[in-house]
Amino acid sequence: MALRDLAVLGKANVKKDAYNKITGEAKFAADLKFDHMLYGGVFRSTVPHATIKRFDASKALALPGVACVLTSKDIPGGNRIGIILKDEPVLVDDKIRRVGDAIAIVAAETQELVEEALELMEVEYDLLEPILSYEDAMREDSAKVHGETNLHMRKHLESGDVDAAFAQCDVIVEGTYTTNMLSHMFIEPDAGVARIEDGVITVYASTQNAHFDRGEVARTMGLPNNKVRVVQVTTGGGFGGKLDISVQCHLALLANATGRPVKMVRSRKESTDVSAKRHPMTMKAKTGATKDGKIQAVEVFMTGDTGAYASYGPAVIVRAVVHCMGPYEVPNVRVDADFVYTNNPMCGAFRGFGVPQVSVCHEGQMNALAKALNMDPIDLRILNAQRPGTVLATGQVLDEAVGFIETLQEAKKKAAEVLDTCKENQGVGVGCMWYGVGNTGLPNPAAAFVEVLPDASVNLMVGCADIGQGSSTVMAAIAAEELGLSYDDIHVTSADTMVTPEGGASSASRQTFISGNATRIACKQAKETLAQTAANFLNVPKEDLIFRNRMVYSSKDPAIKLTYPELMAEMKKWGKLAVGAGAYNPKTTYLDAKTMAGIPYEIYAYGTTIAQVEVDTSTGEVDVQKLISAHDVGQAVDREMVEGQIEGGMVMAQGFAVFEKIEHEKGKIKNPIFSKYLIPTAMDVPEIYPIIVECPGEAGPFGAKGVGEPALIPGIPAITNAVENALGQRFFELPLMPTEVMKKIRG
Amino acid sequence: MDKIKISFILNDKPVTVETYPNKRVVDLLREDCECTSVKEGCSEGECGACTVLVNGTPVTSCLMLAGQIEGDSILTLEGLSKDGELDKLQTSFVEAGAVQCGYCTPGMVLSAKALLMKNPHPTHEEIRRALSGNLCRCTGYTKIFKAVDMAAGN
Repeated sequence: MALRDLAVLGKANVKKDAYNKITGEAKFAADLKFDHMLYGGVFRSTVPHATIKRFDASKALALPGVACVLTSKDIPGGNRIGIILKDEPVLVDDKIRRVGDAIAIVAAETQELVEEALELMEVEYDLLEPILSYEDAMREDSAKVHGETNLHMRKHLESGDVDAAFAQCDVIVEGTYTTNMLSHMFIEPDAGVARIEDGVITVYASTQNAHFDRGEVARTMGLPNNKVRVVQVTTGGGFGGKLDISVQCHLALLANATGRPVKMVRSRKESTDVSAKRHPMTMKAKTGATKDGKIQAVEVFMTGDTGAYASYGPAVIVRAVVHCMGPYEVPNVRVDADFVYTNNPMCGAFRGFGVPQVSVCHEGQMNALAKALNMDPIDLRILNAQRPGTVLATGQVLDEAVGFIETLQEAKKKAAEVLDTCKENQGVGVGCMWYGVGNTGLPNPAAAFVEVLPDASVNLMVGCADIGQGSSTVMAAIAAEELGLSYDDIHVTSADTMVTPEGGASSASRQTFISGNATRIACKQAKETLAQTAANFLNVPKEDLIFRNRMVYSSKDPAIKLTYPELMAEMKKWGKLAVGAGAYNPKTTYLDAKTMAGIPYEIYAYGTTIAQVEVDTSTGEVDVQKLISAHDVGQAVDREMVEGQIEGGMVMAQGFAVFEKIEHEKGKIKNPIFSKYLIPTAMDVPEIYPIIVECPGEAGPFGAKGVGEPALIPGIPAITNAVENALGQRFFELPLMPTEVMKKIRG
Repeated sequence: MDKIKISFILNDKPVTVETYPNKRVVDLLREDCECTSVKEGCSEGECGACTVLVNGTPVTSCLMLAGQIEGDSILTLEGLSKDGELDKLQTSFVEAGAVQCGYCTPGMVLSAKALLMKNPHPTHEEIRRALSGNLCRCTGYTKIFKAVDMAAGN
C-alpha cells in the first residue's frame, strides 16, 4: 500500500526526453553544426612522467587549413582545473604526470586536417621515474607526482573501543579484498562545441555539471562567470565519467583564439584514456561478533590509487571510509584509509564513489560471518541492520527514514517465489548496501526557478543536468505534485548557465533529493501567491486550500473550488504573478578532521540484492541467472524510471563482478576500446526482479531519496557471494575472471 | 582522390551525393544527408550506435564506405516514422521506458526493426540475439526487450 496520498508521484510518466530521442531529433554535442566551424584536437603525452625538453608545432602550423596551435603559454587565465583540488593543468606547463596529458591543442578546417596536424607535432621528453603503484608511491625516496608527498589523502574514523570489543568477540572473520580499475564506457564519447556570441563564450558540452564547467572555463579564460555560458546538450551517459572537465576549456581557448566556432569529438580510445576511472582499492577487514551473531566491532584499512590527479578522489576516500562497515549497527569501528597519487590514469567518480568497492568488502565479511556462525545470511543482516534510531560510527543518529530491513524482507520473499533450488555449482548470494545521498559532509546546494503562466502551464528552470537518468522528468513530477497541476503542464529547462540557477553535479544520487527539494520550495513560493488569490476569491482561509489535479478547493468543502485556468484569470485581474525561486542545501555538518564525527549526509538509501548464479566448472565462466534487487527509495517519483535504474545498475554490477577490468601497463591503458574492455551485452542479461520499497520520512521531496548509485551497488557483492556459495570457495578479488575461478576450482 | 557520385535510396527517397569513395557511410549520412540520428560510439563496429538498415539488414555504418551503398536502400531512424506517425517500435520504446541517455537508441531501434521485418513474433532468445550487437550502458536492456515484445504484440 502506498505510504503517501499523491496525485502525480509514484506512477509512470512518459520521460520528458523520450520523444526527441526516439525520433532521432535530440541533438548531442557531436551533432551540432555552426557556420565557419573549425574542428579541434589535442596533442597528448605518450609517457607517464616527464618534463618536456622540446615541443615543436611549426610543421603543423605550416599545414594549410590549420588555424592555430595553442600551448600553456596561450592561456589567458589560470592553468589548473579540478573538481575538488585544482591540480590538473589545462595544458601541460611544469611536467607530464600521466599518459594522455594535454600538451597542445589545435584547430583546423576539417577533422582530417586536425589529425594530420597532430601527426606533424614533435615532442622530446626528459623522462622521470614513473610511480605506478601504492607501494611505489609510499617509498620515501620515490619521485613525487605533486609537491612533497605522494600521499593524496589519509583518513581515520574511530568510534567506541575497538580493541576491547574484539577481545570480547566469540567469532572473528578477516579478509583482504581487491577491486580493479574500471571504465564507465558511456556510449557517447566526450564532445562539445564552443563559440563566441555577444562577447560571451558559449560551450555546448556533454557534461554532468554545466555550472562547474562554467567556473573552470571562466578561470581558464580569465573571464567573469557571467561571460561564460555552458549549455549541457543531450548527454549520452555519464555514470560519473563526465563530471571532470573534458573538452570544455580546450574548446573555449580555441574559439577565443580563432574567433570561430570549434567542435571537438573524442575518439573512443581518447575518451577512455583520459576520462576518470574507478579507483582500484584494497581493503583489509576484520569483523567480530558474539556467538548469536551481533556484530561488535569492525576494523578496516584501505588503500586506493587516485592516479595522476585528484579528480573526485577526496570524495571517494571519505565516502568509502564512512560506508565501509556496511548498513549495520556497529558499536566499535576503526577505519584507516590512504589514497596516493601515481602516474597511472586519473581516477575519480564512477557510480557510487568508492561504495561499490567497500560493499565487496563488507558483504564478503558478512558472507564469511554467516558461515562461521552457521546463520542464515538474511537473518544475520536483519539482526544487525541499521534502523530508525541507530547511532552511526560518525555519531549521527538515524531518523525514521530507514527502510533497510524491508528491503531484506521483500527480497527474501521474492527469492522464495522465483529462485530455483540450487543444483551442483549453482549458488545464491546476498549483497546489501547503504548510500548517503549527496556530497559527504560538505555543502552542496541546488536551486530552481518556477513560473506558472497565464494558461496554467509552467516553466521550470533547474541547473540539474538530465543525462538520461530522467531528472527533468523527476523535477516536472515534483512541481506538478506541489502545484496541483498535471505532469504534462510542466516544461523543464535544465543546465544552461545563462538561464537556469546553480544545480550542482548530477552525481552522488543527489538530484532527486536536492534539486527536487529546491523545485518543491520554488513551487511552494509560487503557490503562496496563488493560494492568497484563491483564498480571497473563494473567501476561505488559504491554509484550508488544496491544490490537486488542476483544481484548487477547500478541504472543508470541496464544492468551494476554482479550476486552475479560473485561478490564473483571477491572478491576471489583480496583477499577480506566480513565480518562485527555491534553493536547498542538505542538512549536514563538516566531519571532524581527526575522528570524522559529524553528519555526513542528511538521508541514506538502502538496498538488498539476492543473486543466483551457475558456474561452469570446465571453463570457470560465471552465468548470472537471476537478480532480485529491493531498494528503499523513500518515495518512488516514477516507478518505471526507478525500475530502469535498478535494471541498468544490476547489469553494470554484473560487469563489475564478472568481467570488467582496465588493464594498464606503465601508466598506459591497454584496453580502451569495446572489443577489449567488455561490457555486458543483450546476451548476458539475467532475469531481473526490481522491487521498490518506500519508507517514512519527509526530508526528501515527498520523501524521495536517490537511487542512481544504490541501484548498482548491492548486485556486485551478491553475485560474488553467490559464486562463493556455489563453489564453497572464498574470492577476494574482482572481477571473477574465468582464469581466476578455474584456479580456485582446481585448488 | 576524386569525388564520385553515389546514388541510393535514403528513407524511401532517391538521393545522389557527390563524395569521396572512401568516406565512411556514418560520415556520409551525418554530414552530407543531415541524418544525425546515426551515432558514432566506437568507430570499430563494436557498439552498434551507428547501425542503419541496408536493404533491410542492420549494418554498422562506421565500417562501411560510401562506394559500397550505390543503389542500396538505406533506412535511418529519421525514416522510420511515416507522415509524422511513429513506428510501433518507437511508441513501444517510449511506453516501456526503454530510453535513457538515448545514444544507443537509434541503432537499437533499427536492429529491432530489422528483426521484426523478418520475424514478426520473435522469441525472447531471438530478440536478445538480434540486439546483441548494440551496446547499452544505461538500461540493462530489460525494458528494451519489453519494448520489442510490445511492438511484436507478444
